Amino acid sequence: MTVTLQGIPASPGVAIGPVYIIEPTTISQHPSPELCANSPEVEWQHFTKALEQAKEQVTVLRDKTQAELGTEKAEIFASHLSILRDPEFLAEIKKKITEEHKNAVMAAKETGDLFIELLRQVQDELFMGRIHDIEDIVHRLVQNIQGDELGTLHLQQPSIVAAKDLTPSETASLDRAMVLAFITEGGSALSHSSILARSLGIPAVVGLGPLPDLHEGSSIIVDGITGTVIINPQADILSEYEQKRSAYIEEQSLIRHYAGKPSVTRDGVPIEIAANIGSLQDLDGVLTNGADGIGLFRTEFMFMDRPSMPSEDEQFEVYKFVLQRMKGKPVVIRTLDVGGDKQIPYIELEQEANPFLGVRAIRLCLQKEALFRTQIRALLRASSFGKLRILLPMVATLEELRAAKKIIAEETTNFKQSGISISDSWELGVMIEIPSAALLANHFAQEVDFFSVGTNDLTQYTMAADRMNRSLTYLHQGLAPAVLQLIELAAKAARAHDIWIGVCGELAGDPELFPLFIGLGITELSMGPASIPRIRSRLAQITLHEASQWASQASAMESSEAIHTYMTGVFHES
Amino acid sequence: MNRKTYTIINPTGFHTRPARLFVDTANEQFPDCQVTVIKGDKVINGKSLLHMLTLGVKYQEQVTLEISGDEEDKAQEVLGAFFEAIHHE
Repeated sequence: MTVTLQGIPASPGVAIGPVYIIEPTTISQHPSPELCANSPEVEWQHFTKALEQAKEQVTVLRDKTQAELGTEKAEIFASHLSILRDPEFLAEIKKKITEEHKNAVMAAKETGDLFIELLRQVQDELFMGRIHDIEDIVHRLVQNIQGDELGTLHLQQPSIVAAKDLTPSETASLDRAMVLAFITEGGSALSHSSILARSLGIPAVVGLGPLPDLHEGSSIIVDGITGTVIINPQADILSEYEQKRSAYIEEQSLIRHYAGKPSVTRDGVPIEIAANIGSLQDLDGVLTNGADGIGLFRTEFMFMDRPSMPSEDEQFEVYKFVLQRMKGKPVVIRTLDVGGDKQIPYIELEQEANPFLGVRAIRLCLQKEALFRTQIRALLRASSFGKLRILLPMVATLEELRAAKKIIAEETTNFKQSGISISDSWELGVMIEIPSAALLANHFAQEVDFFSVGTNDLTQYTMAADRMNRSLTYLHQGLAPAVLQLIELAAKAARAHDIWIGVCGELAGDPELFPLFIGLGITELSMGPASIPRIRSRLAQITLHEASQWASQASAMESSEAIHTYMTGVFHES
Repeated sequence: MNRKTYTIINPTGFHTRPARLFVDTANEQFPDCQVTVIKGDKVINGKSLLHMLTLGVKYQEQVTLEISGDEEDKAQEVLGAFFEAIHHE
């Protein structure tokens, strides 16, 4: 009978195969008599011997993980070592042995439980994920005290491992050639076992709850993308998942192939394929997918959900962190882009009938000058730590740009006078997202270093259609010719004044439409990190010449529908 | 004894990695210092990773670092820097 279970997707990928069940190793609740030594001194000796053994084992595991998966993953076992030396942990165990006359096993187990309970009270997933690490350490100590062999798997054929739980140590020791995937009853996506599974590339679903009676060797599907597990699947389901598995493998090989490749057209024209990010957590995806830079760093996250404004120092640390992690690759940081649709307790915002047409982004920053100056100072200070590009959102007039530039110039002078070093080579750009800016691009281009087109807002403001309004989605589909013509104006102005222009809206990562931007002379595309490998592979198939022909055809078309049909067609011919 | 209060700016809080670095540095570089970390009404041993983790220091929370012993000023500077920084995952 087919059984479908839903768990937490912990490591992506699809696996199909026979199941191998790991029985939980038991910790003797009633330790054998020889362990119930009467003398606490002897028990403490048992314990310290097991402790030294554990330190050696974990050191080996840390070095192995470091060699295979790098320093970041080895950190897991560095923290285990730190716990094995933890004065409070050891003092508690010693107390239980010497004062409460517990044997070494019970003392270790009860001390582990004590700290696990305290961690539960933190009520934060990230900290609660460490519960498994304590269990892992206690498990290891108990096995050492009892003199048990540490369990290794002896799989006869490639299998899907099912367990109540897997400790980080067990996960790190899994044989990649034999373990197709693993599923566990407990666990969370943030537990160290899940983190290790992701870096080992082993699909995993955790937190499934009690597993039904499984027979060794039963056929099973693990979908680590959605968290679905299917036991004894029927033929049609099986073939559906076989397709899904191939698609996933193909996508992964695309990522591996293109992650480190330069972004160039077939005729060798370099294009910068960059990533959009909205938080520091997004940086991992940026690096895995091999982005050429960050084309849009939205700074709003730093300002939301908090009672007071982030200080200059805090902002400086965040900007510096991103610039340093990108190691000299360009980072476009957009200044604060909020308005009356967001509640920010420390910024007084008037209720507005149309917040998207109201005091937002640069308009707000110029009204709340102290807020803007703080952000600018933090950015200028960070400028010497990488390749910084500052982007001003929602600029409609040259007066707004000049007002912002005046503030930036004043802050620069202040820094120079006080001897604080700031880079001379950072760049300033404006977003092209209001039709006015596109129409005045010739003027703007003389006063900035670059343009960045926000296709979502440019469409919203060109069509006068709220993009949150579901009955107006037809006005937001694809690339409208009117929007394309506005982008063309901006691109021409950029070329005439020898500045660069990029696109950071959703359409930059559209596999059919992006060539139109290349055809207009746009040299930077910024998108969700996951889209980068696909766009890079498609870029390698087209030439600048054909892209410009497509662009001039498309901008003369009457509807976004027509442009879409045309571009889907040419792509398949080429 | 010296004492200073910090606000955590690391977006994911003061989790395992920074806590481990903090604790290991405290133990290795300042063996003769007593290191105490205070959050609200909780007072813990800053040389214990388990104590640091159970303190559960999150983004935007304030912690006070109290240090006494040899080189306590240097320890405050070195260890305090962990609270003021942004850390890799």
